[in-house]
Amino acid sequence: MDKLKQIDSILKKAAADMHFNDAIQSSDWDAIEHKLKKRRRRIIVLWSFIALMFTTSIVTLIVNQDSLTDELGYNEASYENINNERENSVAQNIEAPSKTKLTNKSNDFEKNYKIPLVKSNNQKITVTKEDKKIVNNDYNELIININSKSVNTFNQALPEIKLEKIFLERNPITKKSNNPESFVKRWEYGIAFTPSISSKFTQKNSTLSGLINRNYNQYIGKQEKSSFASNFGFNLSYHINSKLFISSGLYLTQRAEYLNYKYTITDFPIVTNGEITDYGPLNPLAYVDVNHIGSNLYHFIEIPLNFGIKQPISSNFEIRAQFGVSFLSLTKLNGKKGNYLNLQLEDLSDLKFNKHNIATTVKTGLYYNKPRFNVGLEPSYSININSLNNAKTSALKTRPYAYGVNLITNIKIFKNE
Amino acid sequence: MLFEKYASKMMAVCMRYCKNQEDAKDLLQDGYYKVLTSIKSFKGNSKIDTWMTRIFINLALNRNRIGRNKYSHFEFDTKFEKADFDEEPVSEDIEAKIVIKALNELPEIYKTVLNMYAIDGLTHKEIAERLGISEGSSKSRLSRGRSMLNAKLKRKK
Repeated sequence: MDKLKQIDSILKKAAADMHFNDAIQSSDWDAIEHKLKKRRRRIIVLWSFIALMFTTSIVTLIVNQDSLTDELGYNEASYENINNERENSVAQNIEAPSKTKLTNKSNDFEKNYKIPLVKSNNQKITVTKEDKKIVNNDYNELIININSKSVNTFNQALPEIKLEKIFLERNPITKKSNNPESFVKRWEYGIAFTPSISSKFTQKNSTLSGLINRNYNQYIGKQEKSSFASNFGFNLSYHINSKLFISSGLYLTQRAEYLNYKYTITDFPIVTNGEITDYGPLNPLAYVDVNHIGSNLYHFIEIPLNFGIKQPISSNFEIRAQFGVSFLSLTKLNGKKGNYLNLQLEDLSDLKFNKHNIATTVKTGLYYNKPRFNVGLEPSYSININSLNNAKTSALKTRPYAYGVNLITNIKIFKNE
Repeated sequence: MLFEKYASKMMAVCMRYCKNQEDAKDLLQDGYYKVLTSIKSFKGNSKIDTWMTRIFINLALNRNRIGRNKYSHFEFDTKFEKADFDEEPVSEDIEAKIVIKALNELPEIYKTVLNMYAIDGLTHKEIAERLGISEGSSKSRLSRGRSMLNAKLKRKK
């Protein structure tokens, strides 16, 4: 058998002598470049989405932080809550050092740091929310931070002021929303419209991939591009609490593709045992010219079920994010499509597609909130989970998707109405 | 630029792992896409074309495994006869085209091992890993492949 090792060198030499410069065309590079551009676009979309989610999270965090501080406004720390022993020690500390110095200091505070220091017969200090830097409302550790200076009320005793009560005043302007009703359980119903760009992911169905014509990709696959589509319908949502809601509705949804076919069928596939084994030349008189430009539309009735979170960011605006699944029932098809086996143009209605489909949707955006209604603008992305083509009969798996901006307006219905 | 410089060489690799030019072109495009999107992982431990060749081979093997015949439609050669085992090696003065054509006519399992071992310089260990077979199988396929190719070349000559 060793004798045959020289076959290796024959092979190597032959491989080195083979040149395929003629087989490489500029269209090959164009196809690669197209793929790379598509990838770049996908990355940009992905990163934009991540950035949006990140921004949303940060804003939510900041707003939540403020909400926590606001909540302090409703607490009181008073002497009454401190036991007698501690009260005595506080009193001792308070009644400590120099009068003049401390008086100046307290004046400084009022003047420079704008702490509303209210003295009522030297009995009371009121610290309002304007100070905003209280880190702990437990009297024992009460520290007031002003411009990075820390004043511990024990150590910086104010002798002429007998502290009887320190409390944080309820501040009426700290409430973030002018719509108190937005914090209660309620229904919202309205209409939504989403202009979108629709495209699709196509894969070969491994069990039938042998039936795909060698020219399919070049003549048909690469000539099918994204197109405009839309989604319009009735929205219904239930707001469980101030943060969560569930939404559904009934929509007329489209998925679309743009076609630009221009080719001539010069041969036909020879299929043996469910696989193309060869191609036979057509009689030139039987050549078929396919010239077709247009958009294919797939119409669905969509029933979504989305789970959402919301976060007020100002008195009138809130951010909402939703994620969920939809049931899509294929109702109508418009257009023509090239057959993957013989490349012939066929009417969409003659092809087999799955009638019942499932899609997943994610959307997040800004809502303008008024007491009785709201208006929202949210980028959305939806993709079919299952293949639109029938897996038993088609050599291709197609998952359409659409991305667009959802424009929505809702009327609020409150529970007590 | 990587494409201009190595496209011809990579096309030769693709042609060896695919049955027809269309499939090879598909592989060429997918391979370059893969190369260009993973260029950062090239450490410079080998020549860039060697690294690219490995990517093209892996891609061809993966696609053959996952999407049954995405790039090629091979059938096991059941017509192979004992008489084809001829141990007398063919002379080296044979046209490259004929050699490659004969190689392409071999059943896939032999052709792939011959390609990987004899032309692309992979070891039996590497071949075994990539094909999911034992090193012994790789060796026996190589041996059988050589015999079959030798027989075919003799007939063609």
